[in-house]
Amino acid sequence: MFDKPRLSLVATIIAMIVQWLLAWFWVPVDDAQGDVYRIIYLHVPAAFAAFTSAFVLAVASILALRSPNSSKLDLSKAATEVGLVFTILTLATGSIWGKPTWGTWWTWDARLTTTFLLALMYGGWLLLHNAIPEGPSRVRSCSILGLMIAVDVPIIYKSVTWWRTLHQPQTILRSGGSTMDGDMLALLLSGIAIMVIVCLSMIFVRRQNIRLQESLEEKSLRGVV
Amino acid sequence: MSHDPSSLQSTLIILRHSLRIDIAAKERLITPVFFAAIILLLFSFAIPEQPPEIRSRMMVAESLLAIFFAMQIALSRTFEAERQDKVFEHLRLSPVDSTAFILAKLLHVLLVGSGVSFFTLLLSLILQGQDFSLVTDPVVLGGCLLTLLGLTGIGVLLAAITLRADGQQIIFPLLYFPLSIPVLLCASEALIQWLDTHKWDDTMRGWATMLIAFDAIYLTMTLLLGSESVDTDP
Repeated sequence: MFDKPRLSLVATIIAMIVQWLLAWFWVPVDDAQGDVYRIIYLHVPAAFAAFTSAFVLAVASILALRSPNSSKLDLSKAATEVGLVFTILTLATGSIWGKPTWGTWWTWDARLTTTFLLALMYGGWLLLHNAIPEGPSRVRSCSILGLMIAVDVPIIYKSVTWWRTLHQPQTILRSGGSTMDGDMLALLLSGIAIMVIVCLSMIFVRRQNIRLQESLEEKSLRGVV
Repeated sequence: MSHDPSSLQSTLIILRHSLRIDIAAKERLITPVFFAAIILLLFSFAIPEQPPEIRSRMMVAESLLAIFFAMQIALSRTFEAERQDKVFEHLRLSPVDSTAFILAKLLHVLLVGSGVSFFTLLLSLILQGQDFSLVTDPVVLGGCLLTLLGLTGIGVLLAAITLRADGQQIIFPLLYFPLSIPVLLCASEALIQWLDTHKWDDTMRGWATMLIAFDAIYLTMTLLLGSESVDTDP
C-alpha cells in the first residue's frame, strides 16, 4: 500500500505523536512558565525543520546552478513549500507562546522579524518560480534566490546573540552546556530529530508528487491521457 | 585591427553608456529624487513636531526610508534599457563578459544612488532642523555609503534574477523589501547610536561590523551569481 518514503513518513509521524504525548504527560512542568512552555516541543523542532528545508534548498540550488540546462527545480520547489509550512508553524506556535509569556501575540523582536523574513522569502521564491516561464532562466533565477534564502538561516539563528532581543538566548547549543533539565532536553532533542526526518520525508514525497504532476501534464499535452 | 576589450574596459564602457542613457532621458534620474522628496514631505506631515533630542533619530529613520524607496525605483529599472534593446539576446554573442556587465550596472546604480542619498540627507536635515555639519561628518557619510552599497548589492542581483519574470514590477519589491531589512536595521541602529553618543563604542562597532558583513555578503553574491542571471538561454 505504501512505498518506502511514505512508510517512513507514517512511521515518523507516529514517533512525533508519541513524543508529543511524552511532552504533555511525562516531562516535568517548568518552574517559571508553567505548562505553557510545553509548546517548545512543537515550536523548536518546527524551526529546525524550517532550517533543514533551507539547507535542502541551498543544496538543490547549487546542484541546479551547476547544470541549469538539464536540472529541474522539483527538489527546490518541494523544499520551499515544506519550508514555508514549517516557518509558518514556527511563527504561529511562537506567537501562541508569546501571548501568555510576553503579554503580546507579536513583537518586532529580531528573531521573530528574521523568521518572518524567512517566510516572506519562501513565499517570494514560489512567486518567482511561477512568474518565470520554464527553462534555464527559471532554474538560474530561482536557484540564486534559493541560495539567498539559505544565507538568512544563520542570521536567524544568531539573531538572539547579535541583537538585544526579547526572545530568549540560545539554550540548547551554547558554550557551558545547555541550561535545560536533562529529561526536557532529551525529549526536545529527540523531537528535533523526529521533526527533521518528517521534514525530509515530506520534501521527498512532495518531490515525487511534483514529478508525477509534471509527467501527467506532459502526457496530457501530448494527448496520451 | 580590432581587439576585445578587457573586463575593466568593458565595465567602464557599459557604465558610461548607462550614464549617457540616464542623462539623455532625464526622468530616469529625476524620478527617484522626486520620490525621495515626496516621502520626506509625507513624513513631515504625518509625524508631529518632535523634541530636539528625538529629531536626529527621526532624521535617520526618514532619510533611510526615503533612500530605500527611491532606490527601489532606480533598481527596478536597472536593466530596462537593455531589455528594450534586446541586449540579453545578443550578450552571448558579444565579447562583453557578463560579470563586467553586472559590475557596470552595480557602479551605475551606486552613482545614481549616491546623488539621491546626498539630496535626501540634505533635505532631511532642513526639514528636521538639524545642523548642516552632519553632511560632512565622516561616520554619517560612511554609514550612508555602506547602506547604499548593501541596498545596491541586493537590488542589482534581484533586478537580474527577476529580469525575465512576468510582472517584474511586482515581484521585485516583494523580494527587495524583506532582503534589505537587515541592511536598513544595522544602518539605522549604527547611525542613531552615533548621533546619540558620538562615541565609537562596542555597540556602535557591533552594528557597523554587521552592516559591513551584510554588504560583503550581498556584493559577493551579486558579483558571483549576477552574471548567471543575465546569461541568455541557449
